[in-house]
Amino acid sequence: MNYEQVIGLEVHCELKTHSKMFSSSAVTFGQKPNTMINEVDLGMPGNMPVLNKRGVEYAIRVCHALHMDIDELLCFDRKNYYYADLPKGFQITQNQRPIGRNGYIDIDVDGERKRIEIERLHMEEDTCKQFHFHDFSLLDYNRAGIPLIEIVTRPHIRSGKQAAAYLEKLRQILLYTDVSDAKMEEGSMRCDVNISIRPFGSDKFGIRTEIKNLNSISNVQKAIEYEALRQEKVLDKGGEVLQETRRFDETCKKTVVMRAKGGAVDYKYYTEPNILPIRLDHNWVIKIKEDLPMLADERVEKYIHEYGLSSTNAHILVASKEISDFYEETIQYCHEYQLVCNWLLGDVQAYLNKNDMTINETKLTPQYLGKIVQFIQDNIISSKQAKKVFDELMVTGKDPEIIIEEKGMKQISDPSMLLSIINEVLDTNEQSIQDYKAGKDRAIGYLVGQIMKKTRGQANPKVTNQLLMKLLKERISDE
Amino acid sequence: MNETEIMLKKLGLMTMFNVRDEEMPALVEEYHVFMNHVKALESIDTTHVEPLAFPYEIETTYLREDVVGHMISCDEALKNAKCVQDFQIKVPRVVV
Repeated sequence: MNYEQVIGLEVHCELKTHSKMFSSSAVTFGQKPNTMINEVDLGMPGNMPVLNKRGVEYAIRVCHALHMDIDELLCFDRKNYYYADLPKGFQITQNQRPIGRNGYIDIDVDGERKRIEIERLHMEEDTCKQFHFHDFSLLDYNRAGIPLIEIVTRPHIRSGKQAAAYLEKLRQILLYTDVSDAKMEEGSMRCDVNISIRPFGSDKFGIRTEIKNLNSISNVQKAIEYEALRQEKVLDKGGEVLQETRRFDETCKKTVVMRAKGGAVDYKYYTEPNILPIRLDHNWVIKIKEDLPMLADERVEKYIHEYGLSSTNAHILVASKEISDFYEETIQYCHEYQLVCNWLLGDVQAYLNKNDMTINETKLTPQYLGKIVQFIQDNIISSKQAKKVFDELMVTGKDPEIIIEEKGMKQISDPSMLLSIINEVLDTNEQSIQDYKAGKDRAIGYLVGQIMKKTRGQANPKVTNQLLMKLLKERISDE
Repeated sequence: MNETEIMLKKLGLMTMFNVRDEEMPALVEEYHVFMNHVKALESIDTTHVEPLAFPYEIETTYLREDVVGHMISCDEALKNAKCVQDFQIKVPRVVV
Protein backbone atom coordinates (compact mmCIF):
# COMPACT_ATOMS: atom_id res chain seq x y z
CA MET A 1 0.00 0.00 0.00
CA ASN A 2 1.07 3.59 -0.58
CA TYR A 3 1.41 5.63 2.57
CA GLU A 4 1.71 9.29 3.35
CA GLN A 5 3.96 10.52 6.16
CA VAL A 6 2.48 12.92 8.71
CA ILE A 7 5.21 14.69 10.64
CA GLY A 8 5.24 17.44 13.23
CA LEU A 9 8.38 18.90 14.79
CA GLU A 10 9.00 20.37 18.22
CA VAL A 11 12.16 22.43 18.45
CA HIS A 12 13.68 23.65 21.70
CA CYS A 13 16.16 26.46 21.39
CA GLU A 14 18.37 27.96 24.11
CA LEU A 15 18.49 31.74 24.05
CA LYS A 16 21.89 33.40 24.41
CA THR A 17 20.98 35.79 27.19
CA HIS A 18 23.51 36.68 29.89
CA SER A 19 21.33 35.49 32.77
CA LYS A 20 18.69 32.80 33.17
CA MET A 21 14.99 33.05 32.36
CA PHE A 22 13.74 33.50 35.93
CA SER A 23 16.94 34.05 37.93
CA SER A 24 20.04 36.23 37.72
CA SER A 25 22.58 33.39 37.60
CA ALA A 26 24.81 33.23 34.53
CA VAL A 27 24.07 31.43 31.28
CA THR A 28 27.24 29.54 30.32
CA PHE A 29 28.42 26.46 28.48
CA GLY A 30 31.15 24.08 29.62
CA GLN A 31 31.84 25.60 33.07
CA LYS A 32 32.66 23.66 36.25
CA PRO A 33 29.47 21.79 37.26
CA ASN A 34 27.04 23.37 39.72
CA THR A 35 28.74 26.76 39.88
CA MET A 36 26.41 28.88 37.72
CA ILE A 37 23.34 28.55 39.89
CA ASN A 38 21.45 30.16 42.74
CA GLU A 39 18.55 29.36 45.04
CA VAL A 40 15.92 30.06 42.37
CA ASP A 41 17.44 27.54 39.94
CA LEU A 42 17.61 24.92 42.67
CA GLY A 43 13.98 25.42 43.68
CA MET A 44 14.81 26.39 47.26
CA PRO A 45 11.73 27.48 49.20
CA GLY A 46 11.00 31.19 49.50
CA ASN A 47 12.54 32.29 46.21
CA MET A 48 10.58 34.05 43.53
CA PRO A 49 11.12 33.81 39.77
CA VAL A 50 11.51 37.15 37.94
CA LEU A 51 11.23 37.15 34.16
CA ASN A 52 14.26 38.14 32.05
CA LYS A 53 13.51 41.10 29.76
CA ARG A 54 16.00 40.05 27.05
CA GLY A 55 14.55 36.54 27.05
CA VAL A 56 11.16 38.05 26.18
CA GLU A 57 12.73 40.32 23.57
CA TYR A 58 14.41 37.35 21.87
CA ALA A 59 11.17 35.36 21.88
CA ILE A 60 9.38 38.32 20.25
CA ARG A 61 12.10 38.58 17.59
CA VAL A 62 11.64 34.94 16.60
CA CYS A 63 7.82 35.23 16.73
CA HIS A 64 8.00 38.18 14.36
CA ALA A 65 10.44 36.46 12.00
CA LEU A 66 8.03 33.49 11.92
CA HIS A 67 5.07 35.79 11.09
CA MET A 68 3.27 34.96 14.35
CA ASP A 69 0.54 36.73 16.33
CA ILE A 70 2.14 37.98 19.53
CA ASP A 71 0.26 37.84 22.83
CA GLU A 72 1.22 40.96 24.77
CA LEU A 73 -0.08 39.56 28.04
CA LEU A 74 2.47 37.05 29.32
CA CYS A 75 1.08 34.21 31.42
CA PHE A 76 3.02 31.26 32.78
CA ASP A 77 2.05 27.78 33.93
CA ARG A 78 3.60 24.99 35.91
CA LYS A 79 4.26 21.71 34.17
CA ASN A 80 4.53 19.15 36.94
CA TYR A 81 6.54 15.98 36.73
CA TYR A 82 8.86 14.21 39.09
CA TYR A 83 12.33 13.67 37.74
CA ALA A 84 15.87 14.47 38.82
CA ASP A 85 16.46 17.00 36.04
CA LEU A 86 13.88 19.33 37.59
CA PRO A 87 14.91 20.60 41.01
CA LYS A 88 11.58 22.32 41.65
CA GLY A 89 9.46 19.34 40.64
CA PHE A 90 7.89 21.48 37.93
CA GLN A 91 8.99 23.48 34.93
CA ILE A 92 7.77 27.03 34.38
CA THR A 93 6.35 27.18 30.87
CA GLN A 94 3.53 28.76 28.87
CA ASN A 95 0.86 26.15 28.32
CA GLN A 96 -2.38 28.12 28.10
CA ARG A 97 -1.15 31.27 26.41
CA PRO A 98 2.03 30.90 24.34
CA ILE A 99 3.62 34.23 23.42
CA GLY A 100 3.36 33.39 19.71
CA ARG A 101 0.66 31.65 17.66
CA ASN A 102 -0.05 30.88 14.02
CA GLY A 103 3.22 31.42 12.19
CA TYR A 104 4.84 29.79 9.19
CA ILE A 105 8.07 29.06 7.35
CA ASP A 106 8.21 28.63 3.57
CA ILE A 107 10.56 25.89 2.43
CA ASP A 108 11.80 24.92 -1.02
CA VAL A 109 12.17 21.21 -1.66
CA ASP A 110 12.76 19.65 -5.09
CA GLY A 111 11.91 22.93 -6.80
CA GLU A 112 8.58 23.28 -5.00
CA ARG A 113 7.68 25.83 -2.36
CA LYS A 114 5.72 24.60 0.64
CA ARG A 115 4.39 26.49 3.64
CA ILE A 116 4.93 24.79 7.00
CA GLU A 117 2.51 26.22 9.51
CA ILE A 118 3.70 26.79 13.05
CA GLU A 119 1.14 26.33 15.77
CA ARG A 120 2.88 27.97 18.71
CA LEU A 121 6.04 29.40 20.22
CA HIS A 122 6.32 29.51 23.98
CA MET A 123 8.93 30.49 26.56
CA GLU A 124 10.16 28.17 29.28
CA GLU A 125 13.24 27.18 31.24
CA ASP A 126 15.78 24.45 30.55
CA THR A 127 16.30 21.46 32.83
CA CYS A 128 19.54 20.29 34.38
CA LYS A 129 22.09 18.29 32.43
CA GLN A 130 22.26 14.62 33.26
CA PHE A 131 25.15 12.31 32.58
CA HIS A 132 24.06 8.68 32.64
CA PHE A 133 26.45 5.92 33.63
CA HIS A 134 25.90 2.20 34.04
CA ASP A 135 24.02 2.30 37.35
CA PHE A 136 24.01 5.94 38.40
CA SER A 137 23.54 9.43 36.97
CA LEU A 138 25.34 12.70 37.69
CA LEU A 139 23.47 16.00 37.76
CA ASP A 140 24.84 19.39 36.76
CA TYR A 141 22.35 22.18 37.41
CA ASN A 142 24.25 24.87 35.48
CA ARG A 143 21.82 24.39 32.59
CA ALA A 144 18.72 24.53 34.82
CA GLY A 145 16.85 27.76 34.15
CA ILE A 146 18.52 28.75 30.86
CA PRO A 147 15.88 30.49 28.71
CA LEU A 148 14.28 28.24 26.12
CA ILE A 149 11.78 28.80 23.38
CA GLU A 150 9.82 25.87 22.02
CA ILE A 151 8.53 26.08 18.46
CA VAL A 152 5.85 23.57 17.45
CA THR A 153 4.71 22.96 13.87
CA ARG A 154 1.33 21.66 12.77
CA PRO A 155 1.58 18.13 11.32
CA HIS A 156 2.19 19.50 7.83
CA ILE A 157 5.55 17.95 7.04
CA ARG A 158 5.42 15.01 4.63
CA SER A 159 9.00 13.74 4.35
CA GLY A 160 12.41 13.67 5.99
CA LYS A 161 13.66 16.02 3.30
CA GLN A 162 10.96 18.58 4.13
CA ALA A 163 11.75 18.25 7.84
CA ALA A 164 15.45 18.92 7.13
CA ALA A 165 14.58 21.94 4.95
CA TYR A 166 12.31 23.32 7.69
CA LEU A 167 15.02 22.87 10.33
CA GLU A 168 17.67 24.51 8.12
CA LYS A 169 15.39 27.50 7.59
CA LEU A 170 14.44 27.71 11.26
CA ARG A 171 18.09 27.46 12.30
CA GLN A 172 18.95 30.26 9.91
CA ILE A 173 16.19 32.42 11.44
CA LEU A 174 17.45 31.72 14.97
CA LEU A 175 20.97 32.69 13.90
CA TYR A 176 20.04 35.78 11.88
CA THR A 177 17.71 37.12 14.59
CA ASP A 178 20.80 36.72 16.79
CA VAL A 179 18.98 34.98 19.63
CA SER A 180 20.82 31.65 19.79
CA ASP A 181 23.89 29.69 18.70
CA ALA A 182 21.40 27.08 17.46
CA LYS A 183 23.99 24.28 17.55
CA MET A 184 22.28 20.91 17.43
CA GLU A 185 25.51 19.07 18.26
CA GLU A 186 25.91 21.11 21.47
CA GLY A 187 22.23 20.93 22.39
CA SER A 188 21.42 24.63 22.05
CA MET A 189 18.89 23.55 19.41
CA ARG A 190 17.04 20.27 19.98
CA CYS A 191 14.43 18.59 17.86
CA ASP A 192 11.76 16.02 18.68
CA VAL A 193 9.90 14.38 15.82
CA ASN A 194 6.30 13.16 15.89
CA ILE A 195 5.64 10.82 13.00
CA SER A 196 2.79 8.64 11.80
CA ILE A 197 1.79 7.26 8.42
CA ARG A 198 -1.60 6.80 6.75
CA PRO A 199 -2.83 5.48 3.41
CA PHE A 200 -2.71 8.18 0.72
CA GLY A 201 -6.00 10.02 0.55
CA SER A 202 -6.97 9.24 4.13
CA ASP A 203 -7.71 12.19 6.42
CA LYS A 204 -7.38 10.20 9.63
CA PHE A 205 -4.15 10.27 11.59
CA GLY A 206 -2.32 7.02 12.25
CA ILE A 207 -0.76 6.10 15.61
CA ARG A 208 2.33 8.23 16.03
CA THR A 209 5.72 7.65 17.54
CA GLU A 210 7.99 10.30 18.96
CA ILE A 211 11.72 10.32 18.17
CA LYS A 212 14.08 12.02 20.60
CA ASN A 213 17.84 12.59 20.99
CA LEU A 214 18.52 13.83 17.49
CA ASN A 215 21.78 15.75 17.38
CA SER A 216 21.95 16.91 13.77
CA ILE A 217 19.62 17.92 10.99
CA SER A 218 20.83 15.08 8.79
CA ASN A 219 20.06 12.62 11.59
CA VAL A 220 16.51 14.01 11.81
CA GLN A 221 16.08 13.24 8.13
CA LYS A 222 17.63 9.77 8.45
CA ALA A 223 15.54 8.96 11.54
CA ILE A 224 12.31 9.98 9.78
CA GLU A 225 13.14 7.97 6.68
CA TYR A 226 13.95 4.89 8.76
CA GLU A 227 10.91 5.26 11.03
CA ALA A 228 8.43 5.77 8.17
CA LEU A 229 9.72 2.61 6.51
CA ARG A 230 9.53 0.70 9.80
CA GLN A 231 5.91 1.76 10.34
CA GLU A 232 5.04 0.78 6.74
CA LYS A 233 6.47 -2.70 7.28
CA VAL A 234 4.49 -3.10 10.51
CA LEU A 235 1.21 -2.07 8.84
CA ASP A 236 1.82 -4.13 5.70
CA LYS A 237 2.26 -7.22 7.87
CA GLY A 238 -1.12 -6.49 9.44
CA GLY A 239 0.40 -5.25 12.68
CA GLU A 240 -0.23 -2.12 14.70
CA VAL A 241 2.14 0.80 15.26
CA LEU A 242 2.57 1.29 18.99
CA GLN A 243 2.49 4.71 20.59
CA GLU A 244 6.00 4.96 21.97
CA THR A 245 9.03 7.18 22.37
CA ARG A 246 12.01 6.08 20.32
CA ARG A 247 15.54 7.34 19.90
CA PHE A 248 17.83 7.34 16.89
CA ASP A 249 20.82 5.04 17.19
CA GLU A 250 23.51 6.71 15.11
CA THR A 251 25.71 3.63 14.82
CA CYS A 252 23.11 1.31 13.33
CA LYS A 253 21.05 4.13 11.76
CA LYS A 254 17.83 2.83 13.30
CA THR A 255 15.22 4.14 15.68
CA VAL A 256 14.97 2.04 18.85
CA VAL A 257 12.36 2.01 21.62
CA MET A 258 13.06 4.16 24.68
CA ARG A 259 9.73 3.71 26.39
CA ALA A 260 6.11 2.86 25.68
CA LYS A 261 3.63 5.68 26.02
CA GLY A 262 0.28 4.58 27.38
CA GLY A 263 -1.65 7.68 26.40
CA ALA A 264 -0.67 11.30 26.95
CA VAL A 265 1.34 12.07 30.08
CA ASP A 266 -0.65 14.13 32.57
CA TYR A 267 1.51 17.06 33.58
CA LYS A 268 -1.20 18.61 35.78
CA TYR A 269 -0.64 22.06 34.35
CA TYR A 270 -1.83 25.01 36.39
CA THR A 271 -1.17 28.73 36.47
CA GLU A 272 2.25 29.61 37.93
CA PRO A 273 1.20 31.38 41.14
CA ASN A 274 4.54 33.17 41.59
CA ILE A 275 4.34 35.16 38.35
CA LEU A 276 1.44 37.54 37.91
CA PRO A 277 0.34 38.17 34.33
CA ILE A 278 2.75 40.66 32.73
CA ARG A 279 1.42 43.25 30.27
CA LEU A 280 4.08 44.16 27.71
CA ASP A 281 4.51 47.76 26.61
CA HIS A 282 2.98 47.82 23.12
CA ASN A 283 5.51 50.39 21.86
CA TRP A 284 8.38 48.22 23.10
CA VAL A 285 7.01 45.24 21.15
CA ILE A 286 6.68 47.41 18.03
CA LYS A 287 10.24 48.65 18.44
CA ILE A 288 11.57 45.08 18.71
CA LYS A 289 9.74 44.20 15.50
CA GLU A 290 11.07 47.28 13.72
CA ASP A 291 14.63 46.64 14.87
CA LEU A 292 14.62 42.99 13.78
CA PRO A 293 18.01 42.22 12.17
CA MET A 294 17.92 41.52 8.43
CA LEU A 295 17.09 37.86 7.81
CA ALA A 296 18.89 35.54 5.39
CA ASP A 297 16.18 35.71 2.70
CA GLU A 298 16.30 39.52 2.73
CA ARG A 299 20.09 39.45 2.49
CA VAL A 300 19.87 37.13 -0.54
CA GLU A 301 17.52 39.62 -2.25
CA LYS A 302 19.88 42.49 -1.45
CA TYR A 303 22.95 40.62 -2.70
CA ILE A 304 21.27 39.75 -5.99
CA HIS A 305 19.49 43.02 -6.72
CA GLU A 306 21.74 45.64 -5.14
CA TYR A 307 25.16 44.02 -5.39
CA GLY A 308 24.64 42.09 -8.62
CA LEU A 309 25.73 38.70 -7.25
CA SER A 310 24.41 35.49 -8.76
CA SER A 311 21.66 33.67 -6.89
CA THR A 312 24.04 30.77 -6.23
CA ASN A 313 26.73 33.00 -4.73
CA ALA A 314 24.15 34.93 -2.67
CA HIS A 315 22.79 31.68 -1.21
CA ILE A 316 26.27 30.33 -0.45
CA LEU A 317 27.20 33.58 1.33
CA VAL A 318 24.15 33.51 3.64
CA ALA A 319 24.46 29.79 4.33
CA SER A 320 26.87 30.82 7.08
CA LYS A 321 25.91 33.88 9.13
CA GLU A 322 29.55 34.44 10.06
CA ILE A 323 30.58 34.60 6.40
CA SER A 324 27.59 36.77 5.50
CA ASP A 325 28.32 39.15 8.39
CA PHE A 326 31.97 39.28 7.32
CA TYR A 327 30.90 40.09 3.76
CA GLU A 328 28.58 42.86 4.97
CA GLU A 329 31.41 44.43 6.97
CA THR A 330 34.02 44.06 4.24
CA ILE A 331 31.91 45.90 1.68
CA GLN A 332 31.81 48.85 4.06
CA TYR A 333 35.54 49.21 3.31
CA CYS A 334 35.54 48.17 -0.32
CA HIS A 335 32.62 48.44 -2.74
CA GLU A 336 33.87 45.72 -5.09
CA TYR A 337 30.90 43.47 -4.25
CA GLN A 338 31.70 40.70 -6.70
CA LEU A 339 35.44 40.59 -6.00
CA VAL A 340 34.91 40.50 -2.22
CA CYS A 341 32.43 37.66 -2.72
CA ASN A 342 34.91 35.78 -4.95
CA TRP A 343 37.61 36.11 -2.31
CA LEU A 344 35.38 34.98 0.52
CA LEU A 345 34.01 31.97 -1.33
CA GLY A 346 37.36 31.17 -2.93
CA ASP A 347 40.66 31.68 -1.13
CA VAL A 348 39.17 32.44 2.30
CA GLN A 349 36.82 29.44 2.26
CA ALA A 350 39.62 27.18 1.05
CA TYR A 351 41.80 28.36 3.95
CA LEU A 352 38.98 27.73 6.44
CA ASN A 353 38.32 24.25 5.09
CA LYS A 354 42.00 23.36 5.06
CA ASN A 355 42.56 24.54 8.64
CA ASP A 356 39.14 23.52 9.97
CA MET A 357 38.47 27.00 11.31
CA THR A 358 35.67 29.54 11.30
CA ILE A 359 36.39 32.96 9.85
CA ASN A 360 36.26 34.66 13.25
CA GLU A 361 39.00 32.35 14.50
CA THR A 362 41.45 33.61 11.86
CA LYS A 363 43.60 36.75 11.74
CA LEU A 364 41.67 38.09 8.78
CA THR A 365 39.52 41.18 9.41
CA PRO A 366 36.93 42.72 7.09
CA GLN A 367 39.12 45.82 6.84
CA TYR A 368 42.17 43.79 5.74
CA LEU A 369 40.22 41.80 3.16
CA GLY A 370 38.73 45.07 1.89
CA LYS A 371 42.26 46.47 1.50
CA ILE A 372 43.55 43.44 -0.43
CA VAL A 373 40.65 43.61 -2.88
CA GLN A 374 41.00 47.36 -3.29
CA PHE A 375 44.77 47.07 -3.93
CA ILE A 376 44.09 44.55 -6.71
CA GLN A 377 41.43 46.79 -8.16
CA ASP A 378 43.77 49.82 -8.07
CA ASN A 379 46.51 47.80 -9.79
CA ILE A 380 48.80 48.21 -6.80
CA ILE A 381 49.27 44.45 -6.59
CA SER A 382 48.46 41.64 -9.00
CA SER A 383 46.02 38.84 -8.12
CA LYS A 384 48.99 36.52 -7.81
CA GLN A 385 50.71 38.89 -5.38
CA ALA A 386 47.42 39.28 -3.48
CA LYS A 387 47.44 35.57 -2.74
CA LYS A 388 50.93 35.93 -1.29
CA VAL A 389 49.78 38.88 0.83
CA PHE A 390 46.81 36.82 1.99
CA ASP A 391 48.98 33.83 2.97
CA GLU A 392 51.32 36.10 4.94
CA LEU A 393 48.41 37.91 6.60
CA MET A 394 46.80 34.65 7.75
CA VAL A 395 50.06 33.71 9.50
CA THR A 396 51.19 37.06 10.92
CA GLY A 397 47.97 39.08 11.11
CA LYS A 398 49.85 42.04 9.62
CA ASP A 399 48.10 44.84 7.75
CA PRO A 400 48.25 44.06 3.98
CA GLU A 401 49.66 47.54 3.41
CA ILE A 402 52.66 46.73 5.64
CA ILE A 403 53.15 43.32 4.01
CA ILE A 404 53.22 44.94 0.56
CA GLU A 405 55.76 47.54 1.76
CA GLU A 406 57.95 44.98 3.51
CA LYS A 407 57.97 42.57 0.57
CA GLY A 408 58.43 45.33 -1.97
CA MET A 409 55.41 44.03 -3.79
CA LYS A 410 54.00 47.28 -5.05
CA GLN A 411 53.23 46.87 -8.76
CA ILE A 412 54.76 49.27 -11.24
CA SER A 413 51.79 50.52 -13.21
CA ASP A 414 53.15 53.94 -14.15
CA PRO A 415 53.56 53.81 -17.99
CA SER A 416 56.48 56.27 -18.02
CA MET A 417 58.47 54.08 -15.61
CA LEU A 418 57.57 50.92 -17.49
CA LEU A 419 58.36 52.45 -20.91
CA SER A 420 62.00 53.05 -20.04
CA ILE A 421 62.39 49.53 -18.61
CA ILE A 422 60.76 47.92 -21.65
CA ASN A 423 62.95 49.95 -24.00
CA GLU A 424 66.04 48.83 -22.12
CA VAL A 425 64.96 45.20 -22.51
CA LEU A 426 64.18 45.64 -26.20
CA ASP A 427 67.55 47.34 -26.76
CA THR A 428 69.41 44.33 -25.44
CA ASN A 429 67.24 41.67 -27.11
CA GLU A 430 67.31 42.48 -30.79
CA GLN A 431 67.00 38.76 -31.66
CA SER A 432 63.63 38.52 -29.90
CA ILE A 433 62.31 41.45 -31.95
CA GLN A 434 63.36 39.65 -35.11
CA ASP A 435 61.76 36.41 -33.85
CA TYR A 436 58.52 38.27 -33.20
CA LYS A 437 58.66 39.78 -36.66
CA ALA A 438 59.12 36.25 -38.07
CA GLY A 439 55.88 35.24 -36.35
CA LYS A 440 57.34 33.50 -33.28
CA ASP A 441 54.86 34.54 -30.60
CA ARG A 442 56.83 32.98 -27.79
CA ALA A 443 59.30 35.83 -28.17
CA ILE A 444 56.72 37.95 -26.32
CA GLY A 445 56.78 35.58 -23.35
CA TYR A 446 60.56 35.80 -23.23
CA LEU A 447 60.52 39.59 -23.35
CA VAL A 448 57.86 39.81 -20.59
CA GLY A 449 60.02 37.46 -18.54
CA GLN A 450 62.98 39.78 -18.96
CA ILE A 451 60.89 42.78 -17.92
CA MET A 452 59.64 40.93 -14.85
CA LYS A 453 63.20 39.96 -13.99
CA LYS A 454 64.32 43.57 -14.20
CA THR A 455 61.39 44.77 -12.02
CA ARG A 456 61.60 41.81 -9.64
CA GLY A 457 58.08 40.81 -10.66
CA GLN A 458 56.61 44.19 -9.85
CA ALA A 459 55.65 45.27 -13.36
CA ASN A 460 51.88 45.35 -13.81
CA PRO A 461 51.35 42.49 -16.31
CA LYS A 462 48.39 44.09 -18.07
CA VAL A 463 50.04 47.47 -18.60
CA THR A 464 53.37 45.81 -19.45
CA ASN A 465 51.78 43.67 -22.16
CA GLN A 466 49.98 46.62 -23.71
CA LEU A 467 53.12 48.78 -23.74
CA LEU A 468 55.38 45.97 -25.00
CA MET A 469 53.07 45.26 -27.96
CA LYS A 470 52.92 48.95 -28.78
CA LEU A 471 56.70 49.40 -28.65
CA LEU A 472 57.37 46.21 -30.64
CA LYS A 473 55.03 47.29 -33.40
CA GLU A 474 56.66 50.74 -33.47
CA ARG A 475 60.14 49.22 -33.76
CA ILE A 476 59.12 46.83 -36.55
CA SER A 477 57.42 49.56 -38.57
CA ASP A 478 60.48 51.83 -38.11
CA GLU A 479 62.78 49.23 -39.64
CA MET B 1 -12.73 -3.50 43.76
CA ASN B 2 -15.57 -1.44 42.41
CA GLU B 3 -15.13 1.36 39.84
CA THR B 4 -14.56 4.11 42.42
CA GLU B 5 -11.90 2.06 44.17
CA ILE B 6 -10.12 1.28 40.90
CA MET B 7 -10.15 4.99 39.99
CA LEU B 8 -8.83 6.02 43.42
CA LYS B 9 -6.13 3.38 43.27
CA LYS B 10 -5.05 4.67 39.85
CA LEU B 11 -5.12 8.32 40.94
CA GLY B 12 -3.07 7.36 43.97
CA LEU B 13 -0.41 5.70 41.84
CA MET B 14 -0.27 8.71 39.52
CA THR B 15 0.44 10.96 42.48
CA MET B 16 3.03 8.56 43.93
CA PHE B 17 0.76 7.08 46.67
CA ASN B 18 0.15 3.38 46.85
CA VAL B 19 -3.23 3.22 48.58
CA ARG B 20 -3.36 0.10 50.77
CA ASP B 21 -6.50 -2.07 50.89
CA GLU B 22 -7.21 -1.24 54.53
CA GLU B 23 -7.03 2.49 53.70
CA MET B 24 -9.52 2.20 50.86
CA PRO B 25 -12.88 2.25 52.77
CA ALA B 26 -11.98 5.52 54.55
CA LEU B 27 -10.75 7.04 51.31
CA VAL B 28 -13.96 6.05 49.47
CA GLU B 29 -16.04 7.64 52.23
CA GLU B 30 -14.03 10.88 52.09
CA TYR B 31 -14.26 10.80 48.32
CA HIS B 32 -18.06 10.75 48.44
CA VAL B 33 -18.15 13.63 50.96
CA PHE B 34 -15.82 15.61 48.73
CA MET B 35 -17.81 14.86 45.59
CA ASN B 36 -20.98 16.12 47.30
CA HIS B 37 -19.20 19.42 47.90
CA VAL B 38 -18.20 19.48 44.26
CA LYS B 39 -21.79 18.77 43.24
CA ALA B 40 -22.93 21.78 45.27
CA LEU B 41 -20.27 23.95 43.61
CA GLU B 42 -21.24 22.65 40.18
CA SER B 43 -24.76 23.98 40.61
CA ILE B 44 -23.35 27.53 40.38
CA ASP B 45 -23.48 29.00 36.88
CA THR B 46 -19.88 29.90 35.95
CA THR B 47 -20.45 30.67 32.28
CA HIS B 48 -18.09 33.46 31.15
CA VAL B 49 -16.21 33.33 34.46
CA GLU B 50 -12.46 32.81 34.06
CA PRO B 51 -10.75 30.53 36.58
CA LEU B 52 -9.23 32.55 39.42
CA ALA B 53 -5.51 31.99 39.74
CA PHE B 54 -4.58 35.00 41.84
CA PRO B 55 -6.39 36.65 44.74
CA TYR B 56 -6.56 39.94 42.87
CA GLU B 57 -6.95 40.68 39.21
CA ILE B 58 -3.98 42.84 38.42
CA GLU B 59 -1.42 42.86 35.68
CA THR B 60 2.19 43.78 36.24
CA THR B 61 4.69 45.24 33.82
CA TYR B 62 8.04 44.56 35.48
CA LEU B 63 10.71 42.64 33.60
CA ARG B 64 14.18 42.03 35.04
CA GLU B 65 17.15 43.49 33.11
CA ASP B 66 19.39 40.75 31.74
CA VAL B 67 22.29 41.23 34.15
CA VAL B 68 24.17 38.43 35.90
CA GLY B 69 23.77 38.74 39.67
CA HIS B 70 23.73 36.59 42.77
CA MET B 71 25.03 33.03 42.55
CA ILE B 72 25.98 30.51 45.21
CA SER B 73 29.19 28.52 45.52
CA CYS B 74 29.51 24.91 44.39
CA ASP B 75 29.96 23.86 48.04
CA GLU B 76 26.74 25.57 49.05
CA ALA B 77 24.90 24.12 46.07
CA LEU B 78 25.93 20.57 46.95
CA LYS B 79 25.48 20.90 50.72
CA ASN B 80 22.15 19.07 50.84
CA ALA B 81 23.09 16.34 48.39
CA LYS B 82 23.39 12.86 49.87
CA CYS B 83 26.01 11.80 47.37
CA VAL B 84 28.40 13.88 45.28
CA GLN B 85 30.90 12.93 42.59
CA ASP B 86 33.03 15.28 40.46
CA PHE B 87 31.12 18.32 41.75
CA GLN B 88 27.86 16.75 40.62
CA ILE B 89 24.94 15.23 42.47
CA LYS B 90 24.98 11.46 42.18
CA VAL B 91 21.59 9.75 41.93
CA PRO B 92 20.41 6.28 40.94
CA ARG B 93 20.10 5.98 37.19
CA VAL B 94 16.51 6.44 36.07
CA VAL B 95 16.18 7.05 32.35
CA VAL B 96 12.72 8.21 31.32
